[in-house]
Amino acid sequence: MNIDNGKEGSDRIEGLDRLTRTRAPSRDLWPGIQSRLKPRRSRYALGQLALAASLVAGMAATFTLTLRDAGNGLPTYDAASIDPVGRQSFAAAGLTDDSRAIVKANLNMVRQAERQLRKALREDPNSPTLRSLLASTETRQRALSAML
Amino acid sequence: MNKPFSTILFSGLALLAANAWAAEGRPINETRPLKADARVSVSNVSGLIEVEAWGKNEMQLTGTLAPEVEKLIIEGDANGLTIEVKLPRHSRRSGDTILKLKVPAGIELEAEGVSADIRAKGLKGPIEASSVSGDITLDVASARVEAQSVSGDVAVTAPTTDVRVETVSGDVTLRGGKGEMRSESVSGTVKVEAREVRRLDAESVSGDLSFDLQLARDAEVSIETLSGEVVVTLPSLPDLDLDFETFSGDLESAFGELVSETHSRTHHDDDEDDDERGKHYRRHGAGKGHMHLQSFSGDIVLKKK
Repeated sequence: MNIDNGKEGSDRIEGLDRLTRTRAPSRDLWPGIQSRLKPRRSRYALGQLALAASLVAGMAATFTLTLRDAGNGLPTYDAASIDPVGRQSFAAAGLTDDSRAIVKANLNMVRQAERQLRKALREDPNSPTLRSLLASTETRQRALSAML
Repeated sequence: MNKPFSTILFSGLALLAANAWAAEGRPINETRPLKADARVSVSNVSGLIEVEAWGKNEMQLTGTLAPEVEKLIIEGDANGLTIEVKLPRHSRRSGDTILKLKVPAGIELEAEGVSADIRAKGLKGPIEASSVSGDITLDVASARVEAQSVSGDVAVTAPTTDVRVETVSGDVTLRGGKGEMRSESVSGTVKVEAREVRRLDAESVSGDLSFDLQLARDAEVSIETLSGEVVVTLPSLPDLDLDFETFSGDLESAFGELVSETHSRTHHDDDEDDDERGKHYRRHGAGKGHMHLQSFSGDIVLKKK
């Protein structure tokens, strides 16, 4: 049984507790009640679920994006639909401090690699290998940024 | 012994016992009926998820709950069970909770941890495992495995036909698979031993990639890294379309014909510069497949088994 401690008093109907309970209502009241009920779920449980689900969704999106953007001329896997919601929830769920630091360090590494690739592309702008590597690197950078 | 003294003594002993019980965690011992092809989802924040196959159509759960755990939730029926370790609201840290499950081998397993390690042994059904910083170790007979981690290592030993592993900094080891394999890491190393490989996709940024492979005749192989080293061990150079390229790394091969056809992509006329080692090798093969190895500064090494 849910106990109303008065904190949600604005949602109460004045005089409701004075109505007689011996007479059945003339119509089905449940649809109206149901629409006013708020689902009660543990914020922690939601956070944990979001973290775990977003880990899978975020990394799946990373992988799919990377494969799709690789542009190496090989046929790719059937690209699963990219799930921007999953990536957002990954960001929203948050990592532990240690894991966040690891992701940041890896992101810095990817950014440095991207700079090196761009520098190399200036010297060899027609290299398909460099363009392909750059596309993969940019995709990975976006995915790691989304995790933070 | 006088009464006040004995009361204090017994109270103290009771308190010590209670503290010891709390510090060690509360024991778990639960059993549920479970069908051979049921789906089992397990989540734990910190500690261990260990799942082992046995011959009964039951799930047995033993282990210990960390003192901070609010409750252990077990929901579902013989067709599917969900097991969740629930911490109090706003709690971010917890001691280790140990979950040890015994289940029918054919179940479909989904295991999720934050810092919890995940281990599975003897299972035959599909497995999805993810942990943020915990290690994932799967020694199973499953055909399909997916595993993800941020910093935890992932090791899969299984006759998989479809395996997919992704990490950020965790090391990846795949053994015993065939068919399709995908592996990705940013800075973690990747090691793969596989036979009858039809499809392999592997990528890293700085992590070294090592493969001991036997390829199918129509294999599609794509291995890519920026600064990691790629080492591929093969019984012979496959008769596929080959495309190996490194921008500034080196290309080494135990197969003589590869070395003879390799050319330096950055050498211009007579202006040879040993510091510019970029190399590219291409060859058309009789087979339908492709083998594509690509790096920016990492070396590519082909070894003969």
